[in-house]
Amino acid sequence: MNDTEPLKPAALHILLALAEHTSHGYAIMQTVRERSGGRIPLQTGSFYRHLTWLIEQGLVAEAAVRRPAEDARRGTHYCITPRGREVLEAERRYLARVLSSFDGLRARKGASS
Amino acid sequence: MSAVKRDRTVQIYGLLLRAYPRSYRERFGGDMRETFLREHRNASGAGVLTRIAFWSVTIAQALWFGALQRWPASGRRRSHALLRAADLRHAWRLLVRSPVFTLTAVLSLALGIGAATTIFALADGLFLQASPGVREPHRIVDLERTTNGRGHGTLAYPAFEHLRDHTTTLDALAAVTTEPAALSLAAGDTSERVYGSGVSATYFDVLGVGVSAGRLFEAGEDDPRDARAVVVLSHRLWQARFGAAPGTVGREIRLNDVPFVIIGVAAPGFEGHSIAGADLWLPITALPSHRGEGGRARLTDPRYTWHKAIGRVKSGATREAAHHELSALFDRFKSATPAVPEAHGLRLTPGGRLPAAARVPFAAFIGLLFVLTAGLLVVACSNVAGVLLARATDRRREMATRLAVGASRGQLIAQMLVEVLLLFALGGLAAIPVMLWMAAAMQAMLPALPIPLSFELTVGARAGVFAAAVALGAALLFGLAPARHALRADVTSLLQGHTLTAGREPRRVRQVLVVTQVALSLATVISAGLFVRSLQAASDLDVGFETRHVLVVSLDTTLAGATGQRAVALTGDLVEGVRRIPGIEAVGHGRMLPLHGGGFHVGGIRVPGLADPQALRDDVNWDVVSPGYFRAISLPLVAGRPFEDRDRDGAPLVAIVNETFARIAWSGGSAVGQHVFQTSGDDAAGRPLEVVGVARDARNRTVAEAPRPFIYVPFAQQPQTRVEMFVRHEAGRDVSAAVREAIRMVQPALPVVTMQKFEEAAAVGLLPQRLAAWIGGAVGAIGILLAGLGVYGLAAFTVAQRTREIAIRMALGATRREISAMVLGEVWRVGLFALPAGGLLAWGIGRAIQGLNLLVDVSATDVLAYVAPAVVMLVVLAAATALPARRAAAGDPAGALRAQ
Repeated sequence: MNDTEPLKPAALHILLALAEHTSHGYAIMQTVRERSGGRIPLQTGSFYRHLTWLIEQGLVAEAAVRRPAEDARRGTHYCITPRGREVLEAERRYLARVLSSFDGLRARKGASS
Repeated sequence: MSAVKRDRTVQIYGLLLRAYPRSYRERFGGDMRETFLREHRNASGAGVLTRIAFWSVTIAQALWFGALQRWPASGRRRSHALLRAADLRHAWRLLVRSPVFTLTAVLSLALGIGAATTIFALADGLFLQASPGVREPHRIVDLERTTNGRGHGTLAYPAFEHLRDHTTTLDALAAVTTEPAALSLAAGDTSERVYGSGVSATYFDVLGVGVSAGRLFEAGEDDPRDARAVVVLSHRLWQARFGAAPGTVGREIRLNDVPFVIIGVAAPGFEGHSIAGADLWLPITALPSHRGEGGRARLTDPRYTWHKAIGRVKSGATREAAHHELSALFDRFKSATPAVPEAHGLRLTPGGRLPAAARVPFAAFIGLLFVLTAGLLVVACSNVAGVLLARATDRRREMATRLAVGASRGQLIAQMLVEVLLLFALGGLAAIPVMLWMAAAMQAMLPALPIPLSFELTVGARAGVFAAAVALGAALLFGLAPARHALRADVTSLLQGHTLTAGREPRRVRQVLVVTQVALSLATVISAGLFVRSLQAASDLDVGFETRHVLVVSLDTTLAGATGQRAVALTGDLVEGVRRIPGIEAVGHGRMLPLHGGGFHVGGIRVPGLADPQALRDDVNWDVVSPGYFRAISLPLVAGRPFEDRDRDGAPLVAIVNETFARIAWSGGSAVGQHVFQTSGDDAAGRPLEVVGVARDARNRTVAEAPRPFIYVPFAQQPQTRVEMFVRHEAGRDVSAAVREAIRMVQPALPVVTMQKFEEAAAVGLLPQRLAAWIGGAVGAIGILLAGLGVYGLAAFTVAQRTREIAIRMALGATRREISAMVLGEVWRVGLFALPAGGLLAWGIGRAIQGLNLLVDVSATDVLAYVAPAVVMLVVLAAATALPARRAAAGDPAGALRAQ
């Protein structure tokens, strides 16, 4: 993984959700769905596929401790790793560059018309 | 979700999880199950299609990701692309390289998917979808009256008012006439026929319908003491009749010559809550028919049941709670109003486009069509699976080679999966024209109906989702087995060339597939044959009267403002006017159109001294006829006299009964001169009618029914406003224009509602049989063709697989005849096993059809319907095996052995 290859939208959203706080599978899915306005169509199968990939890449890990108040049935909690945060930061910089290209486009259009 | 259902869901998902490798399952399985269960709970509240889509995606993802997890592609892969372009290109090339296989497979899949989807679209339109323009349709309920807990009856207006004013579980409750009535609309100096429903002011609130101009009804606008003559137009009528002019609101129009003011236009698309379409809505209390004598009684008499009601359940309340509350309210009303019969009760059903009474028979019939078309789909899929299996066997060497040079099994599975999916996707795409054609053909079969239908059989997005789900499901079910077979390859032995002796298993699978095909298509053709035999029997059947050379003219005297004795005078003039046309042999009229499916009552029957007083209570049918009726439809009287002009208003009341009635009431004794009593809600003792004649038994509602007790009363003594006029004319003479002109001469303001040949009108009763014969016949014929292809495939496959064996046998001295017999024998055993299986299946379907009362004078085990398809099947089997057998026998043993 390096700066030149952007994350898949679903993976990015999962990382973002975990950057906020440690969480379990279903809650992450819900957050992703809300944040993306339903544009990331995650189902159980595809969600775990992305999660597995993030774990394999070392961007996400299982959280060692679970908060005692949580319902035990909700299962394993996941958290973002330091490496995950780095990738997320790289992603942020990349997206900022994309955004500034957009802004430049708009400025040029505004000037020419 | 119930605990049992939850357990089953967990089990199914557990099975799906087995697609993943064990290590993965142990690590993530538990979490995935929990997550899935929550997702499933969210999805299970949604519609059928959402649930189908949810499960399709779940299954596809589990299988696909499971496979990817088991066999990760070796080397560097581009993250986890779902579909690799290279696989797709490769699959496409393979399909193009064998065009005959591809074309046959795609075509048969298209027919199977197309037929099943068309029937789904029909069921979807009638049952699953709400009428256009209705908001939150799942909260709508239909209210019906029951008698002793049974039936689908109408309500009395005072009862409705009581329920409307006291309910707390419904947002709103609205009364509505049972079906839109034909009205004559006059605006400016032209008049035309439109269809209008009488509704209470709450109607649009219940349905959540919006407004496109002006306003909808206000509370109190339907107050019976002060019903305002106002009307709301449908958007369509507004556009068609008034050019969508903004000044339409506020205009005055005349409906059946009564002035009404247009107050608004409903939202576009809305044409009423049921499949019977309406052009406009007026307060149910302001219906023109309420202005005649006795009209007011409809609104105040608690015994006069005549309308339906629909309600909107409050958000948060359940249908059960609403049912409970309304039943209690109705019971309270009943105990406070002694005139209401004790047997009456209330029932709530989910709202729908079909009247509740019609839902069960419709569902059963559509279910039957669905079974037939699903059978075709299975036959088509088995065929494709059979060929895929054969190809898989052929390709084992290719697969072994690729495995040997380092391809992963995952890659090969992915590639084969792509091939199968591509094939089925092409089939699904090709199904679109099939669906459009079938939908058009089915709509063309609909005869002229008395009421315009607000229903179009459209193949839209939902049908598309269904077709896609069916194609995907079939691809996974029928396409994965061959892929598995191809990959269960022992690399070394395969590369050494042991393919052709290996594997009885694929042949066994193909045999099962062929048995399924032959049996299913045979059963379909036999079922279709039963319907064809029914149609045949129906056309030969003596229904008791003569439908040929008779024109039926439907009229509504209220359209000319005539009710009661004025309607009698009007129809008398019309009969006179029409009779004067040259070439007319007889003219008469009744209230019912025979063989049209419905029944009619103008009261109850009491026969003094009847041993079983219940015998004539429920199923007596009535008709109100003119003196010329019996001659016009050639229905003979077996005793007594027909009605005459002397049976007029004020003269002694008379009646004519049919043979079944006479037999039940007087068991063989003379009926003429006896008295029966016509009872009503007010009058349990009833008024006496003298029986003056006995008519022959005839089929009245449908051709399939057994004779019912029937009673005819004279129109002059019990006038109606809806009239079916029967005009018997000379054979081959078209009198329709002359009849129309004669009616116009008598009463220019009276529009003809419909005019059709009696023969065609009566054929409506046979519509289900016609539809089933047509669909079953087409599906079955295609099925037999596909089964023939399947058998041919099996025979060719058998020969190919046993080439070496055949060669050795021939080298050892077997004759060509023996070789043919060996190959033929194996295939024939399969076919002969399938025939009785198909027959047995057909017998089951036949019994179900009989249970639905769809067979006309034909037994469910009609010999011809069974034998003819079986013979055709045998011929097809013979033809399909002849060529491969000859090829086997003509083989060159030395060459075959060398090739090994």
